[in-house]
This record gives sequence, C-alpha cells and structure tokens, in this order.
Amino acid sequence: MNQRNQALLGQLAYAKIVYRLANIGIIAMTLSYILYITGYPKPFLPIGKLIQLWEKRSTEFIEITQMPLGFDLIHHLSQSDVISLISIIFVSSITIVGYINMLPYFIKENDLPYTLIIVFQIIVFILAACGILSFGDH
Amino acid sequence: MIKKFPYYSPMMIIFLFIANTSFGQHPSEIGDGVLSNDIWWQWPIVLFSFSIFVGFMATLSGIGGAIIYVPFVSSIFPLHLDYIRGTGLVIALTGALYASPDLLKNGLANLRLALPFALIASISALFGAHFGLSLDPKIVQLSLGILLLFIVSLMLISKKSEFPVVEKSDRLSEFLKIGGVYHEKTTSEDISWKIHRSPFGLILFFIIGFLAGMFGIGAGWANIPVLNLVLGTPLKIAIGTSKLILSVTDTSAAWVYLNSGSILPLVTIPSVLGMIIGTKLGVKVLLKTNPAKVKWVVIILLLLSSIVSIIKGLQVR
Repeated sequence: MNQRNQALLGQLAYAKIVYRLANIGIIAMTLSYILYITGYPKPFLPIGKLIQLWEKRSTEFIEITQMPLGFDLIHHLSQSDVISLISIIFVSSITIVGYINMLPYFIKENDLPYTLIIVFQIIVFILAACGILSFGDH
Repeated sequence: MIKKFPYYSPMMIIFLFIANTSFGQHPSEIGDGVLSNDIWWQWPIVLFSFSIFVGFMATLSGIGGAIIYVPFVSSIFPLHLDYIRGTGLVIALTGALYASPDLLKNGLANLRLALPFALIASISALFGAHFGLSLDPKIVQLSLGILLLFIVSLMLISKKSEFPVVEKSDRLSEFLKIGGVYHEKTTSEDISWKIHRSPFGLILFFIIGFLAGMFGIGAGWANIPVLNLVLGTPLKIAIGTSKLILSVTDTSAAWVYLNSGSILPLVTIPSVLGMIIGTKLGVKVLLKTNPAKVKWVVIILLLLSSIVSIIKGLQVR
C-alpha cells in the first residue's frame, strides 16, 4: 500500500465514523430532548426555574442551581436535563473519535509530522474535555 | 416590486415582532413560578422556529448559521450571552460535522491542509473561549457588534478567486506535503493545487480560532478568505476544508463552554435541530433562488444586529 492510498484511507476512515456518529448524535439529541420536555424522568432543575435564571451568567447560574458539571454528571444520569446534556457532550466528542480512528493510517504511512499533529490534537481535545486546559477562573 | 422582495423577509419581521413583544419579556417581568412554568414550552418552539429561519438564510447566503444566530438571539431574546455563544458553537459544530464526511469523500475537503491549521485554531479557540467567558458580557456584546461590522465589510469588499495562482509553494507546506489534485466537474478538468504563505496562515488561524471561541460564531467567514486568498487554495477546496477546520476549532471551544455550564440543552437542542431543518430547506430552495439577493438580506440583518449589539454593549446597567 503506497503512502497516498494510506492517507486517502485515513481521510475516508475519518469521514465514515464522523458521518455515523453525527447521525447518532442528532437522534440522541432529539430523543433526549423529548424526554426532557415531557418531564420523564424528572430533570435536575425544573424548566420553569431554569427560565427564571437564564439571564444570569453561567458562573452565577451554576452557583445558585448547583447544576452538576463534568464528571459529576455521571451521578445524575437518571435526570432528563442531564441526559440531554450528555447527548450534546456526545456530539462534542465526535471529532475526537474521528481523530483517534484515523491515527493508525498515518502511523502506517510513517508520516511523522502528521502523526505528531494528530497526537497533539488528541491531547488538546482530551485536556479541554477534562477541563484541565483552564486559564483561570471565570 | 413584490417579486423583487424576497418572500422570506416577512418571516423575519414576524419573528422579530414576536420576539420583541411577548417572548422578549424578561423572565422576571413574566412573574415568579406559576406563569413562567405555564408558558415555558413557548421558548423551545420559538427558538426552534427561529433557528429554522436562520439555517434557511445561512444556507442561501453561503455563510455559517452561528454568525446569524448569535447576534440575533442575543439582540432579541432575554438569555445571557454565555448560553447563546455556547449554543452558537454547538450549531456551528453540528453543521460542520454533518457536512464534512461528504466533502471528504468527494475530495472537496483536504485533511492534510486542514490538520495543521486546525490544530493552531483549536488551541487559540480554547484561549478565546476562556477569555470570552471571563469578560464583562457588555464588552463582549460591544466587541461582537464591532466584529460584525468588520464581517459585513469583508462580505462587501472581498473577492473570491476560483483558482488562485501559486507560483511556488513555501517550505513549510512542502515539508507537510500539502497540495493535491481535484476533479472539477463543471469543466471535467483535473486541477492541481498547492499553497503558499503557510507561516502567515498559521498566525491568521490563531486569530480566527481565538475569535471563534470568544464569540461562539463559528469561523467560516474568515476560514474561507484566508484559505483562498492568502494561502492560494482553490475556492471549492477552501470552502470544503473550512468546514473540517471548523469542526476541530469548535470542538475544543465547545468543551470550555460545556465545562463552565454555558450550554443549556433547553436552548441548544431546539436551536441545533431547527438549524438542521432550515439548512435542508435552504438547500432545496437554493437552486431556484438568486444567492446575490439573499446575500444582501443577510448583510442588512447583520448590520442591524451589529447596531443592536453595539447599543446593548454601550448601555449602562
């Protein structure tokens, strides 16, 4: 397999997984939203209360509502607003999965610059997702 | 006369009217508890319908949905700018994710071109998102208004080059083997392309990523001119690759908004779904519409939102 073919395969592998996951993401968002607005299961924060607070900035909102964030969401999987938020997190993770999926093709190609770019990008994504790349409090 | 007036303009006026009257009311003006609990369902419906309109207009005018969504929603809905920017990013991200696979399969987006620039833009988007969330919202609103004026001027003066001439590729792009051949269906020709000025392009993408993260407006408006006019990428490759870069930039910025609690599913999901439907409707109508006329409608809309943003930014608490 020559270099050009490997690069093309990497490109197609990325396209294939992103296409599949994007469709799953849209379906997940739709279904979770239906659950959320019908109130089954009950949300962490009632919608009426949320609307009264959504003119406040996010830091203040979190302080008042004590809405779970990051890894704390795992403890609230039975609440419909958290389920909806997880569907958005899923969509925000698709690019990361796409990058991980195409990495082997660039390694096979012995393309060091691009392998490093992809690895570095994955690290940036993971650090951002974990909230580690935080440049001070808001 | 009537024929010349785009038929979707009345839709916009209706939305503005609705948003500025009953829905534009501050939640505290609506009242505590009972009444706001009774009418909450109107919000998702309005956001959903509004997003269909935005997606429709964005497709017809060829610019990103988030760039219309963020200034408009922040001008007329009583939501904090944090949640509107967070939603803007998810809108731009979903749109880019949806479009990228087909563009890659058809060779209209190039991964080797996208990856280095996307890396730089995604790092600066993190800085931009943190910076934007730490600033006084009034300053962000004012800066957004000024940025919109700049974007409108860019839309008015920038000229696109279908096949820019690149005499010699630079050393960095040669090292990264950026370039390729794509098949132009309209002329049945294989177009060979390469790029130049890559180091300057990296600096520009750093700035673009920062702005995209700070304002949540996506970055297609800047990606395409830089790829096309500065780096010398053929226009179709620039448009396709811009989507790919956008998906990477907005992924990293979206995580900052997610981790700071600046994304509310009640607002974000109907907006994203509405935008997808609007985009699909727009694609169907695109073939029968004159894009130049739509572009003027969007320019006027952006101008109006920039004025409202500047006024809101200058208002004393």
